[in-house]
Amino acid sequence: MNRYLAIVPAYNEREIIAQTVREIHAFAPDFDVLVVDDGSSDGTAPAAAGAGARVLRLPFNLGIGGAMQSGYIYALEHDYEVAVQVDGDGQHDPRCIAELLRVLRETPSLNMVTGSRFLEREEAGHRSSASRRAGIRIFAAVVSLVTGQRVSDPTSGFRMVDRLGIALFARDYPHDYPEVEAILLMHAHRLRSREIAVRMRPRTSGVSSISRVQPLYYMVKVLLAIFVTLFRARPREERREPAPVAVKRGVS
Amino acid sequence: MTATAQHLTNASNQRVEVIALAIVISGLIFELLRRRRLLERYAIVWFVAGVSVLVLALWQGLLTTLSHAVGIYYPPAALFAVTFLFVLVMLVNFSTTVSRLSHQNNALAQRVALLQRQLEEHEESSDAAAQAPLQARADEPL
Repeated sequence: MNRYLAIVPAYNEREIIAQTVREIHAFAPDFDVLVVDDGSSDGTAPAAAGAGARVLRLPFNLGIGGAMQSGYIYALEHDYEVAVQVDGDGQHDPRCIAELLRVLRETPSLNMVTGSRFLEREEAGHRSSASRRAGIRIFAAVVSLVTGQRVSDPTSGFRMVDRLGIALFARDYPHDYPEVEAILLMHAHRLRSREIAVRMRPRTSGVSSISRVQPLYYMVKVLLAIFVTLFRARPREERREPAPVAVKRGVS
Repeated sequence: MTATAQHLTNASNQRVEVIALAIVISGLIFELLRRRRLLERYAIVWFVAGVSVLVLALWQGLLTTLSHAVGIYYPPAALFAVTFLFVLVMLVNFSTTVSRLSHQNNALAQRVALLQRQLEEHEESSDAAAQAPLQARADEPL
């Protein structure tokens, strides 16, 4: 078993999921692949299992937040050192996983590394529609203000966390539209994160979790959640020691 | 004090009370959110309701204008009608939410029971496999 885990949330992505799994195996061979099938009805789970992924089948649709959190609980219980989130729809390029891992490993104080679409000026890669970019810019401004560091792509789900991040997300993960809030959750628990530039591809199948519901609700919900987070107690800074060796039960 | 002045004082007292109520409700919702007793999804509706009450209380004449515009000449009746509709919609909404949760709870309990049985069968078969060689040895003639 590897020490690294790629968590792939998928909802009705049968057409693309096998390719995503195979790409992760090909470009990030150190990673186990866990597909979280969020109550799909189109045979996503067998397609993923057929491509060699471990599959968690949720009995009904929990939404992206609940699906991701089950992945983090799996990572915690199986004692993975690092977990990376890769969308099942092919937007996140598994070639970038190695770079995320390199940055996370070489900076021991870092708990999370996120792939950002907007760090590089070049107009290459997929950067989503103009209206969506405007929304992202508002979130970026608010998140940068709250965390005191520049965050260019707060809605990116392409992120990698260490043990502390896994433990935090296994315990507490936002429900709907979790990406922006997850950054603030890290900040609230005094865990450190940074972004690196990645290219994203246009989605090849499925629909965004955001396009169907009203963008207005998305904005209001996330801004409200950010505002409320400001009034919650922040835990004290934890001492940064290497994770304790897991105590085996029943061994005297 | 004339009767008209008395009437006006009562009316403005009521306004203060309504404003206070709207603020208290919004504060309560906020505190529930902060303590994670409420999801943002549900809080938003109550905030909108609280703000609507606040606006109606602050903006004198708005309720009268609105109710006259829809042909209701006694403004409080319009207020009651809207409030009643709002509560009705919320109740139906919560009924469907509770129903969905019941279905999901049902599915979860069944899934857990099936998994438990599957686990027991797994353990039984691996126990049997572990015991089989011993059994064979015991059967051997000395």
